[in-house]
Amino acid sequence: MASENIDKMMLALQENGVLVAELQLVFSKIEAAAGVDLTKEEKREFVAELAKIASKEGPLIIWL
Amino acid sequence: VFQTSDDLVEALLGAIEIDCYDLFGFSIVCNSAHISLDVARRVKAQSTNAVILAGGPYGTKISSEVLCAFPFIDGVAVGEGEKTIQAILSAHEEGTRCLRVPGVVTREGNNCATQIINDMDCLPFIGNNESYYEALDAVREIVPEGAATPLEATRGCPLKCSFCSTRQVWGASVRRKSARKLVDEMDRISARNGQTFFSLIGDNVGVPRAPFIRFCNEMAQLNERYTWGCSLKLDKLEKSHIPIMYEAGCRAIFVGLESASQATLDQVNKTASIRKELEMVQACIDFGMHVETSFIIGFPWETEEDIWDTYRLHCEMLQAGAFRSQVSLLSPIPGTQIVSDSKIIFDGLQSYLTDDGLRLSQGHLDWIEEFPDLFSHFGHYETPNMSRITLKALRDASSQFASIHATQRKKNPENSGNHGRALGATYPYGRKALETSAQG
Repeated sequence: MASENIDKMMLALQENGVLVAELQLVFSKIEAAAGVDLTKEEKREFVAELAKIASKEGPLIIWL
Repeated sequence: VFQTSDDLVEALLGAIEIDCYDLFGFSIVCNSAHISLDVARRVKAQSTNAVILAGGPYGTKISSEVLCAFPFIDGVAVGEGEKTIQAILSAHEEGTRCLRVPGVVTREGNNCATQIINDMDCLPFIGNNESYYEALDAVREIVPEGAATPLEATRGCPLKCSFCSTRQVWGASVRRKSARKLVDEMDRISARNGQTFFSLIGDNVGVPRAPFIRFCNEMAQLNERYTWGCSLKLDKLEKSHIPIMYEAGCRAIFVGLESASQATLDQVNKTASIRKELEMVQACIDFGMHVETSFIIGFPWETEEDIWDTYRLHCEMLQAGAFRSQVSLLSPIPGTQIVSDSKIIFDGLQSYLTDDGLRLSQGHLDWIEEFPDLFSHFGHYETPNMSRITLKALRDASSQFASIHATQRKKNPENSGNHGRALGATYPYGRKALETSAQG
């Protein structure tokens, strides 16, 4: 069960598809810079790595 | 669980009692063509005297190329297969050369007069085959709620969309089962498994319009308990037809809108008015239909602005109350007109058609490299005006956005689906398309 704030974040994405695309665009740019095409499992692994190194106040990156 | 394409080939081979048969027929579709062809190759290697026949949509347009590339294929059945397979089996029983029958292309010469079924009511009932119900059960394990029971309703399409293979396989003439035949089949299936929601299979059930409306009127007379969905081209219908469809049991429609760009629709010979389609989609949603819309990105001439427009329209559809929407990367289906016109790139970026979650084995990768025309669907078109990054990002974002909507709908059914927004209320796109088309 997601917290209230996370629910609000998801609602914001539901309301604005361009935000979803911009989020995805960032990941595609990182993939292109690295010269890779990640599999679904690798995407999950990458997001987990990002979460580990995120600062307390840093952005939470969700890659569905 | 399979990891590689080879694993699947091995599993399929393990399920075939090769020594028990002397004629093997493979119904091939392009997304699994490499698997089917490899199984055929391995069967021929084990049983060198067996006759290997390729059939299905894949080979129809590229029969000669398939025979040239794959020496283990003895013949390719083109078009519809019911009459052809009967002729092959009769000839085989009589001991004559079984592939020298109408509808089969061989190395000795073409005999490709396809055997069209004109009266679809004569087709045998699919429910006589136990594997039909097994397949339905397997689907329901994955999609427990809302899965429609598929039932073939029409064949053929008069449209000439350059990216589509339907017309090449089924021909331009639309043939349809009668309402009485379909209701009878629904009765028999429902008596067996209790299902009452059907998906009428046919690439464009709604064309031509007059026979479709006649069909709906007959269904309304005969059908009291079943609902159904189908694939339609909505700009050929009028708003006054929606209640007729509803009365006949229609509750869900799949609409291939393809692009937000009228210029792109014109360029692929879609002969559709995006303005009319959008008006009709909105009217169907307002009437209470479940509408599913579908778009394609990655046409060779598209710009980044074009695909952003299509992406925004996809988002807008979901927010205007479409039950589902999808955006697919254009798959170059072998033998389609658009393939011969455009350059294809094989760089790992591909449409959902080939995304089966299996890693391609080296042998299958070698086939793709050696026969790019036969495996064009593993690539995408060169898009000089658009970056690969954007193409990939919007392909992925579109399914994410649809997933977010589906998830939110499950969590909060009261506050999802139709937000009460008309097209154009959230993004400017729907309004822009309507205005542009009106001016055009």
